[in-house]
Amino acid sequence: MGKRDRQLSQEEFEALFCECGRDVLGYASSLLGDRAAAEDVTALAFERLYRSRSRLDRDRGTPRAWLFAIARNAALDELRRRGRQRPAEDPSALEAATEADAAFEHAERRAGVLAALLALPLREREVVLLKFHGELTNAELARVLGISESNAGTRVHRALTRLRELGAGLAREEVA
Amino acid sequence: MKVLRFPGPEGMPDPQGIAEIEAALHGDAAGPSAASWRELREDVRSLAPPIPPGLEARLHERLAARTEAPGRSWVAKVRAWPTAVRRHPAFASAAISVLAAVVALVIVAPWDQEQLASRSFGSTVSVKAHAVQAGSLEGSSSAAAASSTGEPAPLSAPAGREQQRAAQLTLAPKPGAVQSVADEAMRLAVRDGGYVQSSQVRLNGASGSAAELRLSLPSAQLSGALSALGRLAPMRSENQSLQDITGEYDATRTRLADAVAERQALLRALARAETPAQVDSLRQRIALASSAVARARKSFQDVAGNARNSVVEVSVIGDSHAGSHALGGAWHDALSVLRVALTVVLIALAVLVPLSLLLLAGAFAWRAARRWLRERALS
Repeated sequence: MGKRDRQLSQEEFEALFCECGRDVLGYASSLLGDRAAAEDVTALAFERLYRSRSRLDRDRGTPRAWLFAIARNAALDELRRRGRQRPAEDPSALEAATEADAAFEHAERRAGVLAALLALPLREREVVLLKFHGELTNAELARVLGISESNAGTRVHRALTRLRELGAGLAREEVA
Repeated sequence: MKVLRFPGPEGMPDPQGIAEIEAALHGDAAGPSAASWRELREDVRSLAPPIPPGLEARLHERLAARTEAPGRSWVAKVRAWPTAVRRHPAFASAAISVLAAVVALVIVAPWDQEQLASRSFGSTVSVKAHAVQAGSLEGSSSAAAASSTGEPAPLSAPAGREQQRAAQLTLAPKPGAVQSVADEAMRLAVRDGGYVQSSQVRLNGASGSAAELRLSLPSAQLSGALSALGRLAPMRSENQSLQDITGEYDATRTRLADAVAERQALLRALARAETPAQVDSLRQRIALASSAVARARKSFQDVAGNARNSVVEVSVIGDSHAGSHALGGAWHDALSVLRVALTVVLIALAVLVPLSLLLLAGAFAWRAARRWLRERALS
């Protein structure tokens, strides 16, 4: 594969934005709990991806994984910049979820998921968000997090199990 | 004794469970459990807010601003180095080699000068470091003035010292070239401001052709002259000698000054003489003193000349195997060049390897610190 083929072309970049833009925004939004900051992080991630497109090494991961690695760094930098505060629950995200679907049942279900997600420790929430929004394999996730693949699988398992448990617990509380 | 329990397998997720989740999320597994994981994913993904209309435009603006910027920041350029090295290994190697060579040359240069100085000590010229009081020697400025011609000395003798230098060269051209080499040697001597003291050329056909030359060269030109002579033909031997003649120089100068002073005193006495007998006596003594001055001046000129000029004895011996000697000399030169190149490379490595390790360690530390700070934001 030639050098040109390995680079991310302008068309691929545009396609990646269309395909992953919302996922990156969702990841940043749920992690930071701040819509405006999430938009900034999304724009910054794509900007950095564009700047580093000539350095893209497809042998080390897909452009999507590369993008989420960049987005993660940008989001963590933003978290750090804000004084390592635990992000507040983001009512705007909930509103968006509610407005996005007219069906009340679905909205209620998503509200439950959001609540469970926000109840997760930040480290586990990040794993869930990278796994779901980034659609990363455990190997890609391991590369993004800088850990081993088995460790990444373990973290994913724990985080998802806990998310499911938290969701179930919140649902029971609501019924009670 | 208190027994601490090692974390059991229940603390670790089941590897099968991990694989199941992975397969479910990739659509490789079916069943209610897999469906529930996928449903959970869709629920989480559906929380993502839609892309605001202005975001894409904002991004394009930022990219356009970045593209229109006159140049990338130095941070971006530095970050791009590893990729550039990976993509253009040949170019990177060449750049590193050039850098290494430059660094090595910078380091080697002063050392090499010292080497040069120590190697060519015999061909340095002696320039008087102290002014000869030529004016006080009753106008006998020829020797003193000549010895302090103001010629720049490539490598000067110690201050206040006078040195006499000499060299012997044996050149071995092909027998047919003995005459031309001898002629060229004499021409070089004249060109450099010297002269031929004596020459003897014997041409005996294929064997036995030889020439003996005795050249007097300004010491200031000795180094260059020896190099030029060495290029005329393969050099079989070269000897250089140096002798400190400061004591002799000072002694002859003092004798000259004394003789001049004595004669001046006699001249003054002659001016005051009142009787013919006194005049006659003083005239005889002045004649003797003048002879003494002439002898002293001659001695001083000889010694000063020894310091000013170097004698180079050139033996030109016809050698029918001169070509092979030239080849041997070339081989020797090639080895010398390789040795110098190896030295340069070694010195460059001695500088670059620790420097690279230091930079590498710094880069790793910086990356680790940045990662740690980022991870801390999640705690």
